[in-house]
Amino acid sequence: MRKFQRIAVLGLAAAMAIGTAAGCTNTSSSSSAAASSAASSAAASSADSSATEDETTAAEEPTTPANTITGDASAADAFVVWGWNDDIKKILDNVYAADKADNYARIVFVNSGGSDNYQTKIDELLKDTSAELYPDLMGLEIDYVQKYVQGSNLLSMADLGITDDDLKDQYEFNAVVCSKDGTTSAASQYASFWQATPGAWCLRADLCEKYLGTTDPAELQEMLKDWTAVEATAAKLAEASNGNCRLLSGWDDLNRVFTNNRKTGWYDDNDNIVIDDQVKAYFEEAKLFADKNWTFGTTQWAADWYTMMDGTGVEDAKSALAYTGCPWFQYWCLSGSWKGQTITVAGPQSFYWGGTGLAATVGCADKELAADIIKYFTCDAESMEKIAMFNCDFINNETANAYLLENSETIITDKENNLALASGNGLMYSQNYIKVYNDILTGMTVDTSVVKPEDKQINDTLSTYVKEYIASGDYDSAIGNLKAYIHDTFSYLNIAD
Amino acid sequence: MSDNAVKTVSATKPRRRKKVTHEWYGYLFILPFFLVYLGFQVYPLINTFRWSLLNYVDRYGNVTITFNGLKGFADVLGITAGEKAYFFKYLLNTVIMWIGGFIPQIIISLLIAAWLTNTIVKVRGQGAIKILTYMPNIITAASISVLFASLFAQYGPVTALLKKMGVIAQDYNFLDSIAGTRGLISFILFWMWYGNTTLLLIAGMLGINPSLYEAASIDGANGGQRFFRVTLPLLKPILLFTLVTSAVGGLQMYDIPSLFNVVGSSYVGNPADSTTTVTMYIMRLYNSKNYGKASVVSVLLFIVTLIVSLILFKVMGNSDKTKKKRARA
Repeated sequence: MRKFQRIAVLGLAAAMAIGTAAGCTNTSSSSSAAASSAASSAAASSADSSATEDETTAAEEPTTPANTITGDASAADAFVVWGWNDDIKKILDNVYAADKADNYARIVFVNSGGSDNYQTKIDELLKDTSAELYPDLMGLEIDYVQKYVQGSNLLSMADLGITDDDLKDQYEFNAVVCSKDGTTSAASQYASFWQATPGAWCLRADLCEKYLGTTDPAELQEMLKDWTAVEATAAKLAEASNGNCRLLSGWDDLNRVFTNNRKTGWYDDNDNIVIDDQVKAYFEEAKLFADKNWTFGTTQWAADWYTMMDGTGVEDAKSALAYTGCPWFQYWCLSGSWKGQTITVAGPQSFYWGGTGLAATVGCADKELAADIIKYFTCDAESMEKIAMFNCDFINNETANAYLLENSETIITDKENNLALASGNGLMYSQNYIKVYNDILTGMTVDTSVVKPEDKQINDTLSTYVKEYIASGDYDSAIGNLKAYIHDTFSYLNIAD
Repeated sequence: MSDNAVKTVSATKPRRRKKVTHEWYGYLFILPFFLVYLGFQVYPLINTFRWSLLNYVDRYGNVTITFNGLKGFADVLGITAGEKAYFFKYLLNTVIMWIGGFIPQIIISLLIAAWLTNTIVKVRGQGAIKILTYMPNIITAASISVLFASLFAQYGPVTALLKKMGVIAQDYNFLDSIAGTRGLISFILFWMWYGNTTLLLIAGMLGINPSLYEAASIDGANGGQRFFRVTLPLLKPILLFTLVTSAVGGLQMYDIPSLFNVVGSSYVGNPADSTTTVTMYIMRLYNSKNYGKASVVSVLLFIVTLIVSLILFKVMGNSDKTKKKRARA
């Protein structure tokens, strides 16, 4: 019997040991793989440094995507750059690398795998400057750039040795949004943008011809010159097409047109929540569009919303005539149906949409390199022209844009199809891509000093309350719920009335 | 071994230790679990209680922590003037969606399990059926959520089909309807978990002594009577286990609703905040670095889970004992 006990105990012990080992391999395989590949690449010669790509996953959170790391983060002179997609990496690989090979070899690029979890990941890393993946330089979007600018984790442009003179070519609205105090100087600017993003309405030429009877940008702009005109055009279009072609895909396509034209921030100096007139106007216009069936009621970025890009405006292939956008939106988001069919007009009011900048952190390993990359991406006209020629970005540099405009017909950006920069990646119907956006930008009247650190989360939630208003018709209740949401999420912001 | 040696051993026997025990080995083997449990479960739990009493404000990296007492609880429960009772709202959302998924799940699982274990019917291809019912549970929740969201989108294939067949109105949109969205989330939860429950119930049913069925048959019981009078009462422990684990899991519902009808990183379940669950609320507060309030909600969820589990155990688990007690008396 005792013998049996011993055997049983041994057996159980063995089973447990195996179980533990199995458990280890299951749960930590990704991190151990990462560790071993990091070790092996450290052991390998430095020539090999750019080739290692590995993925680390946060296993518990099903919605958190994996990081994709390019380069060897454990190298002594590694310079870590963070982004939420490969936009920055592509420019580093294809443009920066050719001019600055030595600097480029040191760069380790981390792609967080999406913008929704980007801040959470970055915030955690910023707490510890000695962390291997601590960002030396990071990408920031307009919606949340202020969160970092107002915090204490970034270096100002002046700290990096970048002067007011270096920044003089940037557009004012893009400089103000990176500023700690609303003024434009190297000392108060904590991030720097390479994209300029004037907002515009993109219309599909074949549908314009069919239902509005013209493809002339000036005439189309006349049809969208103010909200009364927009409403008349929307009504005309819905009637002419029997509801199969509507002006917009969803009423939330109007979000940026209004919210990025606000004259006040989401809260005042006393931290009391403020609802700007433009927000009210958005609620009203969205309800009108929904009630009159002038849109298909889709949600931006949802599958339906993309579907509406490709229809022909008939019963079984419904289609939206217009999408509100901006330069990056045009060449990034519009589908193949828009090739050679895009007409870009300013629409009823000025707005901007998005834009990507770079910022160096306080724990930045090499300020000189950070300054070099920022200057290359966002200050120097010559290098910025190269970026525009590489990917059709509409860049944040007046001098460079003047040069590009002058030569836009001869600069070939798409060698494979022999397309000029003027065609905006082959999308434009008849206009010159650079000229259209230059003109819109010149007439722009937006105030980016109202952008607050909390803007991204508030903007993301806005449509929930617009939807509530559309369904109930009770504006005060919907706004009350919006304010309650803001206060509940950011408890330092108060509901005044 | 010589006889002599044997004698020696037996001669020395009385001097040896009275008893060799290996029982404490067992404690040694379970020690790693308890260490990990203490470090990664108990400590964070206690810490959450501590955090729930603090007001933690992280404004762009500048952190201020002040003692808040029970104000956080009063805020979240809507007792403080001007605060909305978000916790109750989201708890109600969670419970509605859980019940919507659990009731069909337990019914269908019982039916399939009874069918597969029935010795008279003797279903063919049992292995294949078991695999097929379990299949949805293998796919990650995130993929299923995204898949369903696109299938049932306003112009999605399933919606289009249902419209063509005249099942739903032409302007109906699942994602704009509270009942539609909640119903779909409940359906996904049902679809994902009924296989799991079925396997558990099959195991439970196979554990029932076949002679009981034989006896019942001899006494003239029909199929329904056998199921309700023999199977169900004996299956009670397994049913209780299923109910408790499903309720605890249901209260922590996160993955499906957080990906199904949510815009960006708002953590608000559309339409009209009707599919936001308690854990999504915790994530939203965590995401805006409102750690104190997030802890308050976590503690409240813990308390609710505890109460629900205790009630279930009391109602279902102890009834046997009370019956026995009564019988003895």
